[in-house]
Amino acid sequence: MWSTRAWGIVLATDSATWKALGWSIAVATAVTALSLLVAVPAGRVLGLRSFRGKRALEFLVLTPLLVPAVAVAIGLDITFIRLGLSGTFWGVVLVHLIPAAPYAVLVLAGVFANYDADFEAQARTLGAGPLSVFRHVTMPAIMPGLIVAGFFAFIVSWSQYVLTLQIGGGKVLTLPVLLVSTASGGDVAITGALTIVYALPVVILLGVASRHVVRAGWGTTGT
Amino acid sequence: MRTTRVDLVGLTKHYGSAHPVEDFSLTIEPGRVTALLGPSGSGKTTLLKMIAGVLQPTSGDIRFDGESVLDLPAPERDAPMVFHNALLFPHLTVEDNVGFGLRMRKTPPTERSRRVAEMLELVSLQDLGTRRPDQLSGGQQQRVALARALVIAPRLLLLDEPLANLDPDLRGEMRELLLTVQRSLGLTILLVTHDQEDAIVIADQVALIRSGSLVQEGVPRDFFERPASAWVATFFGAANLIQGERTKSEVVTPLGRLRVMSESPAMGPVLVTIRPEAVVLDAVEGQANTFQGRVIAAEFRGTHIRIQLTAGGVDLEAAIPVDDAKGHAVGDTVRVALPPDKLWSLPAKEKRPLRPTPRS
Repeated sequence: MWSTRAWGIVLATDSATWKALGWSIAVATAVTALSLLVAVPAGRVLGLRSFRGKRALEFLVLTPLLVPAVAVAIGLDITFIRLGLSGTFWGVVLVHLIPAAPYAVLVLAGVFANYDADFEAQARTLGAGPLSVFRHVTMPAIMPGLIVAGFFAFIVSWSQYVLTLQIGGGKVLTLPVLLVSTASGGDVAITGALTIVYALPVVILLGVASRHVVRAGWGTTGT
Repeated sequence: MRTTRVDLVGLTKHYGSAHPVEDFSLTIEPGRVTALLGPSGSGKTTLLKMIAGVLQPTSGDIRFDGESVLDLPAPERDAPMVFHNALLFPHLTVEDNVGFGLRMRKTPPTERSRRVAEMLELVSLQDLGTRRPDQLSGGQQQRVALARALVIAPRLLLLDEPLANLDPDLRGEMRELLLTVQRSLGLTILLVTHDQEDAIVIADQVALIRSGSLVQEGVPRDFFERPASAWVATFFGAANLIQGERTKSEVVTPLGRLRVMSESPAMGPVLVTIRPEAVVLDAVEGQANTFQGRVIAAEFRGTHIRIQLTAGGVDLEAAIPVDDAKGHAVGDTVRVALPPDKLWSLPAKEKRPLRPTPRS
């Protein structure tokens, strides 16, 4: 029988869904912002400069993706408890950066590898200070890369379960955490409805970001 | 517009073991075009970037009108660069590209659009203001880049191979435009080029650079008639280089004793050089520096006839007018003269050791 019973429960104004959605959006947004904050300078150095040990450094950036998240989280938990970060919003954001930031760094390193820094020299000789150069030259040039890198960071954070549970300790109740506990409750219809709530924002974001994946940034083509 | 005298004093740039610029000193006269000429990788662009302020020199000084600008950041030097690939900001229209420097200076919008319009007219692009850079041809992009640099009323205009990416037709046009603009605005221009033709056509003063050091400076003519070294002579396409031993104004060569310009440098082992146009065939009695030669090749080159000679085991090249009455044929014997006032001697050995310089 087709019914909207599950939707009624999931979308009820007092349901846990809205709170979890709020947590997820807040955490993923903060993770995205911080990832980009790290990735723009890091990607710039990795993409533009050549130096001894660059390959090793690139590998080091990737290592968080090679080590299982649980292994990291259990070790970090103790430190986070000591620092008072356990069970807090910022604790969860910080731990999400471990898998999220490397993706953002890699994307931007690729963008900067094809970036012509002479555009910045040009702007400076025309009178642009450091902030103006970033705002009027660098940022428009790397915008597609920023969008893709931000999208990756957002998705990685959005889909974290183990790390959120470990560090959040059930206090930071994001959508995946709610989803797993609902699924173990056994109501297939409610789980299904919640899954759609969980997946929909990502699908929409993907639609927006994919248009930028195919379009290269202007500073990267050497016009 | 303001014109500025620029002094480069012992300018040096090192990157680790690479020394793209080494102890480079030069004065760039206000209101004139100076060309920095040299083969690729000779450090020209590094020099230009140091003057623009986007690279810091390792040592030495850069002075604008006598005042050091080393502590003046690039945005405040008013010395815009125009790069060989135009580097127009693709997300901005032509107008916004040209107005970029004024926007950075917070010039009021009405004044900004007036000055942008003026500059676009100066480079004959007044109808393309609303276009995007990718809708312009290479020559048009280069003109927009020029207008973008001129609009801020620069103290000094720095051009990095502005003609390198242009077709031969456009090169000529752009040269004319540069000269017209320079004359009407009285600008000080420093032009970097590897093309000696660009340098001699556009510049009042040429500085020849090799491996990061100044080799010779002077008016374009000097480089043809009075090269400072064999390398300079070869760079400017000197065809005739004859070995000899000089004492006073005379050089003993396989062609006999030759009198050279008394002010030419070097004593002892020297090379003697003369432009092909200055070589006289069919010398008359009483001319100095004469000897017998044999024609081994004669080629019609449109504007002149190029004649290959051999004399005393030395090969010589001469260029004679197309309407020269005597048709010199291969095998003919001719009386050759090398007029002493056209004959220049230069040191046979390079003074400076060669250094590898991987960067430009």
